[in-house]
Amino acid sequence: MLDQIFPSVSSIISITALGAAFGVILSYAKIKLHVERDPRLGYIEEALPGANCGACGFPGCSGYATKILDGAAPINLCMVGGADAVERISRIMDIKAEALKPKVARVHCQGGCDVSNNRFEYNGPKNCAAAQQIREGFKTCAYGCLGFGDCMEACPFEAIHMSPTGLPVINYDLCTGCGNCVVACPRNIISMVDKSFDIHVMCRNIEKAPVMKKGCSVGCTACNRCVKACKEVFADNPDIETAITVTNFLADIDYTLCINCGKCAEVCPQKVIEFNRVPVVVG
Amino acid sequence: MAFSTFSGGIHPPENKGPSEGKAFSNLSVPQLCYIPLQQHVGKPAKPIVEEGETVREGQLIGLADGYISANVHASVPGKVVKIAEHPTVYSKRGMCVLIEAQGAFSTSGKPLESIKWESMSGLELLNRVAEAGVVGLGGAAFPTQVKLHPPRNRQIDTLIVNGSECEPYLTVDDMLMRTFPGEIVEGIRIVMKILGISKALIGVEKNKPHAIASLKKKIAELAPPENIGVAALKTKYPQGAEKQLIYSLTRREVPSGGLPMDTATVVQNVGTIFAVREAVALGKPLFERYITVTGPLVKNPGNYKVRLGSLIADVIEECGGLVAEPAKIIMGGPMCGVALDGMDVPVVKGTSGILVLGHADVRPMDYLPCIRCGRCVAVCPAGLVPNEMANAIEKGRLDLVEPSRPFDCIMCGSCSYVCPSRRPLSHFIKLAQEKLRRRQKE
Repeated sequence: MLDQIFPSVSSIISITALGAAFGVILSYAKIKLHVERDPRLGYIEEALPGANCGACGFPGCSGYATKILDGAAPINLCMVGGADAVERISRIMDIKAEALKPKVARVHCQGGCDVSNNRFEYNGPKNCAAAQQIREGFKTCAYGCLGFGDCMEACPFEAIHMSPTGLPVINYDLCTGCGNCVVACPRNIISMVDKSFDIHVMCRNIEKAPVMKKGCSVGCTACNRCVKACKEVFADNPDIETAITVTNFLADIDYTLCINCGKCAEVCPQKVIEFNRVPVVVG
Repeated sequence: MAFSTFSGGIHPPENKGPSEGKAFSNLSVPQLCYIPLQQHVGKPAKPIVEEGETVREGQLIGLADGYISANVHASVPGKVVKIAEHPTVYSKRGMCVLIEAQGAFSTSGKPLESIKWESMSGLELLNRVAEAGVVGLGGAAFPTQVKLHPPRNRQIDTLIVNGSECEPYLTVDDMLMRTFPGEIVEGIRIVMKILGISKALIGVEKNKPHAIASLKKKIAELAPPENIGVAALKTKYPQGAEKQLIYSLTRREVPSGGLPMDTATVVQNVGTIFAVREAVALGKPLFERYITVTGPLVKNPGNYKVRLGSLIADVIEECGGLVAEPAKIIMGGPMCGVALDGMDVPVVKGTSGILVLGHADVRPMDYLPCIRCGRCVAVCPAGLVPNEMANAIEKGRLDLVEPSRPFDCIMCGSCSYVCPSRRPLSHFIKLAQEKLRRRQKE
């Protein structure tokens, strides 16, 4: 009778009854299955940047926050969050820790396809790691950039793009120093350097100059002029002889001694030493 | 008549013509021998000679270092010039012993006295194999003494001899079976004695009727008769892949991540069997081997006996040189071989052939995206899904690759061969394997 007047009454009643029943079950479950969560976990997660880059070595920011809470990880591992994150976490956890110096990725090769030679034609996957598997890379220089951009793919912050000659170019405004590109590069061409240092050797070739020149025209020839220039800079300082040395036919800067003067870059005939000031962003 | 085979596989042009049926001839001894200390899977051998030392032909110069390793012997008598890095097929900077040939040859050209091996114990025979530095000569170069010494809890009932030679162009195994069937059968009996088993099966693709006939004849002559069978297999690539061959001949399947011994079989290439026989019956260490030198650019393609450590430049020179500028020089066959970046690479134990292709045969082409046609899935002899793995690793998604079991890939290259988008699928899978291995290490 009622069904004929209001055909949907039975549906309304049954849905309401179901809703009520599930509501009871859910509210019971909420009480019964409640997990006590440390409120600090949420605060730490908030203090972390949420980029989930994995540079700290833990699976994402949330994973790192859990480890901090367990006391299993130091609080200053987040390169992306930097000093700010360390400060906030130290207040939450009441642990003192020194913030790591901000780092950025630096490319140690300038041998793009315009200035370097190939030993053979490579036809495999367009991927540096795959190219490295075939006779240890197709470039004549066994240390130079292969140019397929594994680092670019690995960068979670889109801070790397490949130049037209096939070299990674780093956008220092976006680079957080997470280090994912360093891991991705099969030839170890990118390294993490403190943001405050402006001088870098743009070469990884440890062969003698004649061997190096077969593959690339812009590599380090180990001419030692940078060392000479650096010695002049430190001539008055009895403690330091030089901050730049040539080992294995490659210039190498000791960043514990370097004073960022740029004299070595000026004298380098191959322009292998880069003097490039990263704008320091405050805050 | 139906021939035994496996599912999947491809039919590339055989191209065996240039060297097929050509009798073996000896190449001259190289003036300077580059003998790599790593000619096998496992740890490189430890050099036990010093620079300036004089060595005999066949003298031990590298001692096996560890369980999975193999001895290395001098291929020529002479003076050790130096022990230095030199490009080899396995590494751009492999350690090599350089020997300058001089003095008298102690074994070459002289008939070697046969040793009565029937009265020796299996262990003695195995030691002789290990001393001679025999490794898998089919190409993988896995130390033979390890394969012939399965753990005690593993039962082995069948020896499988791989004479399928499914690689296009190569004919060296075919010629070995045609020329030395008696020696191969003797080698099989030696290996059967080492393993303590009484059954052996030789698998030969049906495109080698002469080899099948000569082996069958020798087996029939055996007195007392032995349980050695010769099976004609369908001509299909990769018929000679270990796991596929086991399945073709015994219908037993090697489990995922397993080894051939999980199916109670041991597989040896005919070349290896021949080397085992020389090591045991003649006491001759492995310092020379038979190879095929072939390809459209080689002036005199054929099958040659060559000393290990000869540079392939010298080998090709002696085969009449090349008629045109090469586009690709491959050590091994075109499917599984290693493309080289220069001719200054020495022939090693695992070198089954040298193939030189011209620009007309090699047409490099950029690959295109996967069109999901499924041809690679249809031909994969391991039953994998190559396109899924390749697409995932191309995007850097290691997590998606792992469930597809990239480590079951046998690297036969059938998927790359059939891909209409020309995708280097097996290379992608190789990349996935390397990345997964590196991650497991971390």
